[in-house]
Amino acid sequence: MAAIKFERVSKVYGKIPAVKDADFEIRDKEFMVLVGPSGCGKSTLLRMIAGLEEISSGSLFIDDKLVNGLPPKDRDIAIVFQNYALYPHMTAFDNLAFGLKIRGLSKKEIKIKVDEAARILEIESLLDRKPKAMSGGQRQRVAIGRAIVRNPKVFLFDEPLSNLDAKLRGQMRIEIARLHQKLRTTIVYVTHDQVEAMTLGDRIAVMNKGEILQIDTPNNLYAHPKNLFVAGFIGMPPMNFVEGRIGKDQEGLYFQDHSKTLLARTPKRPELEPYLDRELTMGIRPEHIHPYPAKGVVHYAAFQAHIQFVERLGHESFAFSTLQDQQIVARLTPEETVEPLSEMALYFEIEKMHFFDKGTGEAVTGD
Amino acid sequence: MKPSKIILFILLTGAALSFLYPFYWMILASLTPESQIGELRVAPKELTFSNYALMFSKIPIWRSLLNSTIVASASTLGVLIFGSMTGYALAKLRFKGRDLLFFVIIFTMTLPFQISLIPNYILMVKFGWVDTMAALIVPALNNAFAILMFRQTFKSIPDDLIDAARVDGCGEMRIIYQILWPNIIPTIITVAIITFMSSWNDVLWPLIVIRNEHLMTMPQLVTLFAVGGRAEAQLGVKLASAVLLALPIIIAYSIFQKYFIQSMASTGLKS
Repeated sequence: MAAIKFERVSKVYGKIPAVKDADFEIRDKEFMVLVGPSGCGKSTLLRMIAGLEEISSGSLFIDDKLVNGLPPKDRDIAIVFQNYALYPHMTAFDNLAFGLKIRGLSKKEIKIKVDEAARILEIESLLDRKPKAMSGGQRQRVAIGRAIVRNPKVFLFDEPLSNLDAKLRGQMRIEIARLHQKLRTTIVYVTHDQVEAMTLGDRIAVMNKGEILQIDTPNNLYAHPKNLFVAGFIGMPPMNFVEGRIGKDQEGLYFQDHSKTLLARTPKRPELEPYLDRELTMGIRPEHIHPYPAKGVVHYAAFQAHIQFVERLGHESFAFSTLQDQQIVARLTPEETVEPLSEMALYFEIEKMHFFDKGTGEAVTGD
Repeated sequence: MKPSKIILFILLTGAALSFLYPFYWMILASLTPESQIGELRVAPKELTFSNYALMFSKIPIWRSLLNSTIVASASTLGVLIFGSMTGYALAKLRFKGRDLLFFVIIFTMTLPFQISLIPNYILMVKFGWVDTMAALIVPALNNAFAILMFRQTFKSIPDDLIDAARVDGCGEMRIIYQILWPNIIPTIITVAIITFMSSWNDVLWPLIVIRNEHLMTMPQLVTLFAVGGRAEAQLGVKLASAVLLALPIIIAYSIFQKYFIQSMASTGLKS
């Protein structure tokens, strides 16, 4: 049992706030991912859980126990760092054993625990090697081994895969997910890579400028972003944004961009009513834009696009055009063929449009 | 071999000889009867140990060798322990005034030792340490150079390594000596060699705080012996003491030659 609770936790460096009023709970056995751009405060938040960073104000609880002043070693946590942080002068075995030695375990107990961790991570053959003689992936495994060998209540991962190449990153991602299934321990995982965030997290906390903007499951974050930042941050390629205005005529409410190229009738969106004659930002994901009306979709807004270029990836391709000086990306299936430098209509699924208040950036509605 | 290379080697050999010859001459002269030193060229006519015998009879040279060894070893050990602690704090701990403190420490490096000589002496008198080994050892237990070296080296070590050690349960001391020290051996050797050498060669400070002949360090004793009149203007005896003075450093050099060169190159200092 290891839930982590933040109660209005802030961190200030001098006068610069790094984390502002974090107030949320990470449930027992949950895989929580903290995601956000560089400098958003996600690592600081993680380091506060570890006790490596003092808390400027607020309270932090691990298992209902206030840990604000508790040193890292007494928090029963383990951390895996981005650059592995293995002790260079020790073999893999000694790296794993070091924390246990300090805790006064007998040599026999240490051997049993290290062997067990090595077996789980399949690093038995590396135990005699020093970090210098290992590849990046092997080092990362040993670093994870050092974390699991102590059987801590909470695992903390600080961008553990960012130093690995793309292929290895994919493999390690699966292994970390598997490890979580096996160990059933609370994991807090910091990354700036949204693929890692989406694939690993039970829930994801999206952070920007020291604030937690939304905490939700990966699917909900993707489908129901609460604000412009989350909408733009989650999803690759990112959501397309078009600025415009809500109007009304005899057919009802509609959204029209400033250049009057795109008109989206929104009869089923009563929540837009208060925004009549006001400016809004409309967002739509690339997969909800098509080169022709898709089957089963009734409401479309179309505009005549000039396709600038097309990125073909085999299983899908991306068509790039512009609307009102904003880049518009459409994700196309292999069947949806589009030629670069051609003129053609692009169809936006109105049901899938997101609307955001231009002033606050908050979402006006969901789907 | 190219002619240009041959010329280069001849020049280098000449330069090396010009450095080596005075040492050679010193050793030779110390083994030559006093009357023949004046005529000495490359090889002596006669060898004798009488200069050494005379020196041993006049001054407690073995005792001073022991004193020097104790003082230089203790100060070196102190500098390694305390210098790395200070360097660690200045590199890795966050506290108010940290950088200012560091600049003050660096500033002291620019001041000549002579400036602090009198205040230090007064301090030694007040502590009652004059004519004790404490006066030689305690003020030398830490120095700005070592602090600078350790700070810069620790700065290059990733914080994550230290954080990993903290999470593993290490206190600050264990982090310094068990995690960081094994990874900064070249710096430790550099600081150790330079500290040991400067302590070994120091004459001025011992001259001021030590008067008891049995507590004197070797350079102090040899200096007093050579210029203080007790060698009775005999060059051979003076040179015999100079040879003994140089011997430990020459032996140390031959053992640690590789590190000596590394340390000189890495610090850019000429000793």
